[in-house]
Amino acid sequence: MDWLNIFKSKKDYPQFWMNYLQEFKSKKSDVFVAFDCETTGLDPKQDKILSIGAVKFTGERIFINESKEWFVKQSFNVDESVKIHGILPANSSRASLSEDEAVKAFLKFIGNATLIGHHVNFDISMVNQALKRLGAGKLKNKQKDTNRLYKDKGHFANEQNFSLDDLCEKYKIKASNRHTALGDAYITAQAFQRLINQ
Amino acid sequence: MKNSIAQRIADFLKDYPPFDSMSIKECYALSCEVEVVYLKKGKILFDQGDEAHLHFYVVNQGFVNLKLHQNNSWRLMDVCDEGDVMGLRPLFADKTYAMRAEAKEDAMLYAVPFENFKPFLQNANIAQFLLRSFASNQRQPDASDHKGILLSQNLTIPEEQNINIDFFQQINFTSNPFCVKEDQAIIEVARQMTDLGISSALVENEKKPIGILTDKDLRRFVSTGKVALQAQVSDIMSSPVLCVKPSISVAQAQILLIQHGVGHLCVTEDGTTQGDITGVLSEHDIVTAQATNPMALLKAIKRARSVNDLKQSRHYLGQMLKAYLNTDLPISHCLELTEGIHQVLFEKCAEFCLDDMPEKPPCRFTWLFLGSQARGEQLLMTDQDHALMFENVPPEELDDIKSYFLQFGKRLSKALEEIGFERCPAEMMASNPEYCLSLKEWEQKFETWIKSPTEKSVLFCNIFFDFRRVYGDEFLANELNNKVFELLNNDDKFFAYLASDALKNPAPLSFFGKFVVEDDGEHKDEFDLKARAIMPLVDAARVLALSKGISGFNQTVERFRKLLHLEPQNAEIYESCIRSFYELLKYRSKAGFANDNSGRFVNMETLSKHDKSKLKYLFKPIKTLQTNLKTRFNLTYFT
Repeated sequence: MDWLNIFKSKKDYPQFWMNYLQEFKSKKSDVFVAFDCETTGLDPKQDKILSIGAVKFTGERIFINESKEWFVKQSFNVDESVKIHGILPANSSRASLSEDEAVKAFLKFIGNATLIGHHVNFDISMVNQALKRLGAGKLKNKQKDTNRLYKDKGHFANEQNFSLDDLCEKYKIKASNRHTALGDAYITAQAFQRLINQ
Repeated sequence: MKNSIAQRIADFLKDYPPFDSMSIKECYALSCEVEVVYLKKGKILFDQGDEAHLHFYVVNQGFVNLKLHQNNSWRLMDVCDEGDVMGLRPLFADKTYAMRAEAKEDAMLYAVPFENFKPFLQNANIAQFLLRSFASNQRQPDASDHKGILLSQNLTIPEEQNINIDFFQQINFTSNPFCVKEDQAIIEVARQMTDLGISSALVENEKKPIGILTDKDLRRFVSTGKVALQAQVSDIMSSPVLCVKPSISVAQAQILLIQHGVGHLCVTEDGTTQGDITGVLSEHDIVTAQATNPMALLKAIKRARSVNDLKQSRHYLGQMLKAYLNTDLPISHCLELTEGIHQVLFEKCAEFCLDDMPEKPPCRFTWLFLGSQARGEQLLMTDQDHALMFENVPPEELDDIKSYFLQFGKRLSKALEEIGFERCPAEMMASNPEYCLSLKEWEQKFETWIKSPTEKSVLFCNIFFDFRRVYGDEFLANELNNKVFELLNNDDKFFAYLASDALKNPAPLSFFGKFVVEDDGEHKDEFDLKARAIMPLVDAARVLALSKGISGFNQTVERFRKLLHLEPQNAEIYESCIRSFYELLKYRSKAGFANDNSGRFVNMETLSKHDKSKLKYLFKPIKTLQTNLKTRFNLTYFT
């Protein structure tokens, strides 16, 4: 139960979380991290993370040697997700990490950088759920959503939503490796660069 | 687990040089270190004179303009698109950029770190690529003009020959270098080096090099306290030392220094450590050699003592140009360089001839060049086309003065012939009484040509209108130029003649897209590149420029640029004309150098399918331009 966290004292947090919190005491990083989670479904409460892809970048440069993808071993796979992401149980040989290993690595990677995602709230919720299972708090990073930014730029109605593919088309971004966590993170980074430079 | 983005980048890079010479694995490893750069339209990636970046760049998407700042304006030198490499320059001695790179439209670039790329210099193909790239001083030798590979045979230069790029004539190394013995004390050697103000000492034994001691070694071992000052040279020297032959070219030296990450090379008699030491060569020597290269030729010309010396220099220029063309230096650079060197050479030539005359010139005069030499559009040795003009003199003196200048003209023709420029078959030379005239006589001549044009006189106009002063009085040349423009002013009839002459050679492709080849004569079934492709562009540029009153520009490309400025609505045509003109000129020059002829006729059978389609592509603007001329000068009833 979420509200119980309020009574949790700092001492009870795991070490990796304390390390993560420590990051926010130092100067805010001027790089962005675009990230994306591939999941078993669309319900953060029930579904699980299959992979996380993340890319560090600035307004003009994307650092390939600072791009990572973590594949998570999960006990079950939902058919729906297999159709979209092509991650079959048989493919689970790629999945080399347990969820807590992946999430810890992710946290270490992002530090205090601003997180960028497309429909970022969903991805944040997925990570937060995983953090909760590890007895840690919620992500504290600043976050920006490319869907939101695009809507603001174009003065579109709030109800209208845009897919990553829409943004690719608009900004002539080559959409390759779609529906892999790293591929989508990479595209999101490019879309964000264009959004802030227009 | 492979990084899928890096994989994607590697898939892209592996199709383009120099990455195509790497293994898939190497290319992937390099791609992992790449930075992806987003460059918004109009943004500058690096500016002329900027400090070198840690990366060079490959265009992934979009276009990047390379511009050069000259005479207070930015000139577009090149446009890089997908797969083109730029910014390699800092890899070599020069640590600043020679041009500005600016996004023509939104662009994505891959920034490849030099640090991770350097190990690949061991790869012969890649070193070769860089060597050419360096020689051409631009981004990518294989790409610019050769995207369609115009002269495929010229690109497959045998390795041996390619190494001998004359562009970098032999390098001047330091002979009698400072040498020490390996058992000398470091402190003693360091003091001597400081006294002599040098940065390296060769370590020798019986004149054979066994090592080298540089400032760097002293810093690394002695200053840090790792090795004592009293220790021996052999404790800190680099050994063995890299040796080269005295005949090494600048480019070779450059590549070796980079490949081995050293700052000095030892020159020995036979290029091995077994040979006697003859000198030492440092990075500094390379920088010097690069800077003085074309200058050396200019100096030689200025120092020339006879026409024969000039002949030598012109021969050397030919060699240099041949090498330039094979290394794919942009043709515009070749033309500029040739023009500059020619100017000095012809001035000198005129001085020699003047010295030979029994008396000083009786009045002011000017020596004019005509045709392609005047336009500075000739890399090959061609026929001479030139004329003399002297100031207006009293009628009673005219005969004497004319005979003096005819004498002078004869000497000029003879000297040019000695240098290697053949006599003009049509006798358009200063030695011909027809073309050795007073200002007034010239003005009359032009007036006849312009006011009562005939098809024949228009031919003369085409050659004479592009005149350029080479030597002598500037005022006279300007006077004539002003007179010509005065005569031309809105003379529609004359322009119609001129335009119709520019159309005398129809577009080089027949209705069915076949090349129009010669019907008969010596060159039957060959394609006349000059008359059918180059001259139509030259003539069209001339008539358009003159009709617009564009004065002071006699070069075809300059004329097109000026027109482009005046008629932005036709910018596309003019831009493609400039491109075609350069490429065709380059094609012709290359063929001319390769076959030791004028390069004028192309045997269609020897062309690959690729070359043919490339040529056809280059011909396209000619047709558009000719159609434009027809409508503009109302020529439908004229032809």
